[in-house]
This record gives sequence, structure tokens and C-alpha cells, in this order.
Amino acid sequence: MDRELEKKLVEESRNNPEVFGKIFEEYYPAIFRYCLHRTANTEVSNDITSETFYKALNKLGSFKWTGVPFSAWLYRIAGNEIIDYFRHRKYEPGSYDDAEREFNLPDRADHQNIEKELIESQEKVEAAEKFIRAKEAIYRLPVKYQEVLVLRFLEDRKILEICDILGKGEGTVKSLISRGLGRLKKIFEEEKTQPSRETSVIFNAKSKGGN
Amino acid sequence: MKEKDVIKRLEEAKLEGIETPESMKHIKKTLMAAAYAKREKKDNIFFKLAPTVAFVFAAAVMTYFVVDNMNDGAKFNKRGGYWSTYTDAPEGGTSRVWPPAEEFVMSQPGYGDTGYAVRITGTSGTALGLNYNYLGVVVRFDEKSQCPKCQGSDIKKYSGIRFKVKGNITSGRLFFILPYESGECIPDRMTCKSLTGYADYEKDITADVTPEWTTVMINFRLDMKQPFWAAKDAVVSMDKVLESVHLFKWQYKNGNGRPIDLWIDDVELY
Repeated sequence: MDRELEKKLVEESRNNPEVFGKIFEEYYPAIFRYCLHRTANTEVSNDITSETFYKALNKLGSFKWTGVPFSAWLYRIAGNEIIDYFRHRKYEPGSYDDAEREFNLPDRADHQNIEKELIESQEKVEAAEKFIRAKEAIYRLPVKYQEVLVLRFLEDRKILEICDILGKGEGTVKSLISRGLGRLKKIFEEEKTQPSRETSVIFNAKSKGGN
Repeated sequence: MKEKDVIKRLEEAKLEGIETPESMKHIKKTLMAAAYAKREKKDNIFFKLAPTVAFVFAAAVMTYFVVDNMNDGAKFNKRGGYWSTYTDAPEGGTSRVWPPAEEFVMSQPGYGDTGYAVRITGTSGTALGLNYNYLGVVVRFDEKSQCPKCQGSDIKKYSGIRFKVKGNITSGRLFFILPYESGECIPDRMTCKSLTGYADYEKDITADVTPEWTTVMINFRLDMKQPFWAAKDAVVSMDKVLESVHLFKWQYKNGNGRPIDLWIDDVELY
């Protein structure tokens, strides 16, 4: 989205929920996909995406334009939630869950449709062999490398966009990418000489309470 | 292995085509409900804390406007604008609608199982050929917006319109339409002259019509478009249309012989 239009919509959305709905529609697919590339789990990605937008909605009043796009702010919120997920090996979208209970508890049919959709999507993720192999290697890296590599090569974000998202300088981001690629290269080379690893624990971890 | 090979493996690992529209729809609905509740809470606090200045700032904070909540069961809204139905009959069509234009009545129960709502039932005709048949319902903005005065009202300060809707549509499309009319009354039809040749801004809301009440929110500037067949001289900016609004229209098109049952309640500008 054009930065000026984004700024206009964000300003308008402070007093007009309908406009926030438009922003949501614009960025939901990207944020969901980013979460999916990071977690490889559709249910967790769905939870993190919902929490991200709910937090953004609640913090709209304090959001200030400092030259950083709103979309970068969304990625940053999502990134923090993802770190939280990796730290605890499970994810609970606390504030969004409360809002859902208060305002829009899904009826049985809606719940079943969403469940079915997430299960089918998860099957597609697990069938994407190249992603699964890359993901297993990426998970062996420290998180700081995971985030830059996913943003740069799976999300096609430019260096400066990554700087905005992570709040880091250009030199730092380039350095993280370079070192991350170096580490990943070693992992890929190891794979050639070793039998394939077990699918990572994180990949199998379930949201909302783990096992 | 070279660095470029690592990059290639990462780029080939991108997930494509994994979408979750049901989840997206549900999350959006939750966010919208939370956002509206938050805004109402903000409005309430404002009025509690600052009663003396509330009047001055009311216009800025309370940015919604009730077109008609149907609570009184009358076919007129509070400003004298009336509800009526229409069909393609003047053009030789055979679409039928209830209630008839001249005997419009409200139906019960409205949203929340209380009060009244607009209800129309009907059957799309087939006489005008495939996809040329229509029927619908309109509400005039106020008393002066209809013949013989045909005076529009400026609603530019509003972002959009919202209303509750439910019903059953088995085929065809339901559109919300924002007509652009002139100040000229056509006496033999008792309607104001269209400035667009009826190529008015519209929004397809078919998917929102289900057996359960649903809130439809349409942002005038973001959601509505003139149809592709609008003539060059009929193309007009949305702001121009909003400067002179005469009525709001819900039109069932392309039913080609199929029935429609439509309920509308709580029409508001926001």
C-alpha cells in the first residue's frame, strides 16, 4: 500500500473502526503468511495474527508516525508474539481471546468451518516439502537469524523494510543476513552427509496448551 | 555449496496459496465489534466527564446518524423520507414484490426480536431477458428529497452506511445503491431524475444475506463503485454524490425467475 494512503487510513481508523477493517483486510494475508513461515503451524499463525491485529487496534491511539510504516509495526508486533510462542512452546492469544468471548464467540458452525479450514491449510503446509526441509534447517538457527532470513527470502522484504520491522540499522541487518546464510549453509551441507533429522519439536507443538 | 544456493533453497521454500478466508472473516468481525464497543465507551466517558462541552463537541464525536431504526413501525423515517418498493414493471418486466409501492408496511419482528423492520418478498421476472430483471426497496432521505422538491442532503461528513440485514437469496445478486439524482422531478413517475442514467455507485452485499441478522458496513469511498457500463458523462466522484443524497436503494438483480426474501433494520450513517 502507498505510504501516504496508509497514513491517511491509519489516521482515519483512530475514530472509524470500519477503516481499521480495511487495514486488516489489506495486511491480514501478509501477517498470516509471515507467521506461517516462522511457525509452520496454521493454528498458531491464526492465533498470533488475531492477537497482532487486536493489539494494534488497542494501541492505535499511541501509534505515532516516525517514518516507519504501519505495516512494519504489525510485523513487529507479530514478531514479538512469535518469540513468545517459541519461548513457551505454546501460544495463547490472551487479549484477543477475551475480546472474542465478549463480542463474537463463534457458533458451532463457524467454529467447525474455521477448524476445517485450519486443518486443511496445515495439510498443505506439511505437503510443501521444500518448505519443510528449509524450515527444519532454519529452526536450528538462533531466532535473530530466523527472523531476518524469513523476512528477506521467504517474505521478499527489502533490507530497509526489515530495518523498519526489527528496529535495527542497515549494517546490522545485512550482517545478520550474511551470518545467518553462512550458518544455514553449514546446516545444509551437514544434511548431505547425515540422515534427515526428526521434525522439530516446535513444529509439532500445538497451540493453546501444547499436548 | 555456495551462498546463492542457500538463497535459492530459501526462495523455493516459500508457501504459496495457503489462505484462511473463514478465519479472516471471523477475526475481522471480532475486531470490528471490539472497535465499535471501544468507541462507544469513549463517547460515553466523554459525555460523563464533560457535560458542559458535550454539546459543542457532539457533532465531532457522535458521527453516526439514524436514517431509520423502524421502531415506530411507520413507513416514514423521522424526517419524512418514506420507504417504498419498485420493480421493472414500468419497463415491461414481470418482477413482483411485496409490499406494493403504494401500500408499504413494516414487518415484525425487527432485529433482536423487537420492533419492526423492512421486509420485502418477491420474485424476479424473466420478461426482460437474462440478467435484466430487477426489484427492490428504497428509503428517501427526508421529506424534501422526494418529488416535487427533489432536494439532496450533504452527508459528506459520514464515512459510510451500516444496517442489519437477513433473508434468503437463492440466485441473483443484491446490491446496496447510492443513487445520484437531480433537483428535477419527473411528474408522471413522481421520481427525481437520475444524473447517472442509473449507473450509480453500488456494492454487492449478496454474501451478507443469510437467515441470521448480520451487520453490513459499507464505506462509501472505499467499498462502492459505479458499474462498468456507466457512460463517460455519468461518471462522478463519490464526494459529489455525497453532497446531494436523495435516497438509499437495495436492489435485487439478475434473479431470472427466482424469489427473494429480504429484511433490513437499523439503517445508520457512520
